[in-house]
Amino acid sequence: MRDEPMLPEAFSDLEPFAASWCLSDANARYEQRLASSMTALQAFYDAVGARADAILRHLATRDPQAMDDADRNLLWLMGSFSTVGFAVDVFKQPEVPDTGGASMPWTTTPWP
Amino acid sequence: MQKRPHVQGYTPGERALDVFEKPEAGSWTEAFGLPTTPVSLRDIHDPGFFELEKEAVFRRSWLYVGRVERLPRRGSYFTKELPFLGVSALIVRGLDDHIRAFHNACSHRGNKLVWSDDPDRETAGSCRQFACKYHGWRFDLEGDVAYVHNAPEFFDLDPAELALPRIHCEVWAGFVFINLLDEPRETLREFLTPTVERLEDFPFERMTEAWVCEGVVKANWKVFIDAYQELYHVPYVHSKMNDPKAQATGSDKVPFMVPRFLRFGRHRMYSSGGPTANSEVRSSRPLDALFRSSLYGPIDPPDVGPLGEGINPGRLERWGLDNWMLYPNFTIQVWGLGWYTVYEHWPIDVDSHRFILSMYFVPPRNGFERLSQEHTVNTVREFVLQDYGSCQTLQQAVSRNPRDRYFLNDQEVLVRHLHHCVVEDVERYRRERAQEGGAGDAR
Repeated sequence: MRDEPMLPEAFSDLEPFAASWCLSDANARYEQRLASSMTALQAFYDAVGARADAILRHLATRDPQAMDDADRNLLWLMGSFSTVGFAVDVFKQPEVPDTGGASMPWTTTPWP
Repeated sequence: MQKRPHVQGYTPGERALDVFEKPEAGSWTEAFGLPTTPVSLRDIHDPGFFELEKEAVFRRSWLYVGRVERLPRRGSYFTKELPFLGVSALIVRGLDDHIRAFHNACSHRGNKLVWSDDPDRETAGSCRQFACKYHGWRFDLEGDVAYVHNAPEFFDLDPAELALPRIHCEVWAGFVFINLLDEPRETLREFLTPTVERLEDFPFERMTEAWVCEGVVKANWKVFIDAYQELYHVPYVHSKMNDPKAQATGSDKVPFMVPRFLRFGRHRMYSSGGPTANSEVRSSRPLDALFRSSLYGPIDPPDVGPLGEGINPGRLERWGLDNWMLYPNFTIQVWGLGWYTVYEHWPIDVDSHRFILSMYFVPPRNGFERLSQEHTVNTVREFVLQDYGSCQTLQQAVSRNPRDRYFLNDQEVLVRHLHHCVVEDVERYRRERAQEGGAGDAR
């Protein structure tokens, strides 16, 4: 565990996932999916899925351009949740099947 | 036992589909004025054809190179690398707010003028003058020479001769195009045709939140355009994207049907119901409900007002999206949910190309809207990666196949149209070259 919390206090139960998944770079969020086991993806998916409604209600009150660090981390955590959703819900594997390792890295993404 | 292949009519499992009215001609293919016979795909793997195609198609067309939002201020610029045509283009907004394009090479000894770190990589920025990294010559935003280092050592320099070579450049609906001919055969608006031109009413300028990704696809540029010119492949390539937990419909393989196809010269489009089309297909996933967002876009987008008179030219009742395939390699997808997608397919070689996918939204007002948009772009990219895989496989297989007769159905009319237009342009170019005494060689 880190000494400094990364997430807002109301969501401190998700702190164990923060270091791996609060990634500012959308490419890093996808690479983390590819580098994770299905067990790890499922654990992350289940933990965040259980709190997703509350997190989204919280973030709906925040201006993306005026967020503090903790809210930004929460935003990126949810970006990772969307990113792993396909692996868990649909493909049952980290990679998109039948693509021969094809990749389309992001070259432009919004901040944050 | 006699074989009974299923090649006519629907199977019982296919019955739950939306079937749409055909045009008066009897089929979309005939309405387009195209033959219904099997087609050759030699144009995707013949290196000789590719050499002609570069000249006949790309050097003679208006080519989309970027959005005006990439040039926000006077002095803003970006470069576009088109190595297959031997072109590096420099696009810049001048002090007079005009957008111009130049060949990106210093007039002194021809070194690359604007680049950073890696000359093969595109770059962007803002400046008052362009300075060559080699010997320090400088050019203003109108392309005229501004400064020659140690000028007295030169012999009779004439500023008029030192300007950067111009590339024809025009803007429509915020999309910047270039034309590489010395004298373009038509203006950009003539090239687009009146129906495409009217799409400029769509509020593109409100949708400035950009997500862009790109990759090098080991397939001819036309193969990937074909992948979204028809929805016939959707139940097979993308079957896993349906929600396996949703209520069963009796078939995973329900055909997706496109209700309306139209052509405008070499350009073509289809309209579809988008989220309201093909109601029998299970496509909602648990995270789609959570993020209120899907392949079709965020469900509660900010109000952008009317989407303009140019959309849905076929006047579909349940309209959800238009897919405008503009000749040769530029596609604009406009969505009823208030966002748009741009596809660019830039040839590298006969069997590979650079694919750039850009998605644009109204800037999000809060963190939830921001995530709805990210969930849409993530979903689109998962679909695109599946298409990417099937395109690369098709390229490899077709180029190794002794067969050269392939079978297109009426829902694949746009595939037929693209290849037909390209082959026609190449044949015309070949004839012109032959008349000029050339033997049909590349230049």
